[in-house]
Amino acid sequence: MQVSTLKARELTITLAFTVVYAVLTVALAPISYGIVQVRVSDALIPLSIIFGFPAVIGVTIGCALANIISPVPGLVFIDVIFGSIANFAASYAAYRLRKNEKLACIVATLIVTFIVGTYLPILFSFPIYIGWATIFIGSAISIGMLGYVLVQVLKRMKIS
Amino acid sequence: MAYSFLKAFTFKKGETPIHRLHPLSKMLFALIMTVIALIQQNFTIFMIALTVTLAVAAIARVLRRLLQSYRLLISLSALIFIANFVTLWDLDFSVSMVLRLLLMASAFSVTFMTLNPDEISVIFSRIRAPLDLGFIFSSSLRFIPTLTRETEMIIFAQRARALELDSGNVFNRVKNYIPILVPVIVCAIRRSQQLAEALETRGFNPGKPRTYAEQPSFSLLDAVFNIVIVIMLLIIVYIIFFSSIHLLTFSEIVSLIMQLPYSTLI
Repeated sequence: MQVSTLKARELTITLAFTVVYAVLTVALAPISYGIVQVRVSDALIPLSIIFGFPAVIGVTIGCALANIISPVPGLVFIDVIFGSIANFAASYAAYRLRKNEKLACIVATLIVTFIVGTYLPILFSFPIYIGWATIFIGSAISIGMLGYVLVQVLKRMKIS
Repeated sequence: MAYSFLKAFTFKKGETPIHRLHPLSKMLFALIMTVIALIQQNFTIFMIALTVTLAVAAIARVLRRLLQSYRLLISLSALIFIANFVTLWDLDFSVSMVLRLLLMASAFSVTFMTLNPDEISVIFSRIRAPLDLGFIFSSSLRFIPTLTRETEMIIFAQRARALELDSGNVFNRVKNYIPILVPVIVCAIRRSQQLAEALETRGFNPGKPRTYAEQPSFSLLDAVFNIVIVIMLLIIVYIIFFSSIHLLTFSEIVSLIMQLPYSTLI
């Protein structure tokens, strides 16, 4: 028996985050400075501080969806699994640490760095420190910096 | 800003045998190709699997789109090749790692280029995933064009107010995205509240089982396709792990090709 467990309001907030994450990932070309790529959509990960658990699920499914709608659906195929896991873990951690927003953003950055920066080198066998370094710079900017500012701005607007 | 991706992703209805396959068969194809890509590192096997994938793409008439999408893989391929070659100094292995990326990317591309978005919720229901997941997946696909248009409009509006997206150092460039992200999120949240009301008025009732109007079924074509793909996997596993057949590597093939005109000259 398939039953829905979320309330309509939670379901649609999740939907909103899924779509926004996917659209931003694909529509805004990553800001790249050589090897370092900043994925702007990752700034949505710490928003679970404001919007709670639906946002966590939203960025998780959004990551998988982004891979499906991108012109190279296969490009980040493994992202469908590990990228989603990374987003879920990071966003959930931020949600649990929502009392301390700075700490929440830092932890989220580290989680993404650790998961994504580990599976890419393992899969295509290049040194792990290269993976960690490049992913860390990118996510520190998107999650740590942009995400934190976004949380501050949206909090003042009281839209949730 | 390139929004051409919308055209690229929009699944095109097709009447090819590949399009008619059951969604789960298409997923199985991508998964088996990924397994083949991950369990071995031989050039010959990669080329065989890649040929099969391109053949499936050709049958589905998406070969040209697939080959065009390779352009976007160039930078990642270069990173993989250079990082491997510099650290290991092994040409065969570096080439194989690039082929591993190409094979996995191609297989998933073919699958998603031929998978109707509506079928995704069928997959979710077949593997007994929570209903919410299938609902979110299929309705997000419906909302993506709407939100893309909205995002586009917001970007134009902010540009008209003299927002520059592509100037300054990396920190400034990232900061410039805030005037775009905030309205996009606010719009999406507002829309989600309207949608929630619409759902409730249409009798969306969490806690009650949902029914489907249509359910695709497995056909003979699915059976043949799945059996062929699985047999291919088994043969490759047998050759790699249980037989002593020597498979040519990239450098061996290159040297063979190099020798040909040379030997004919002599």
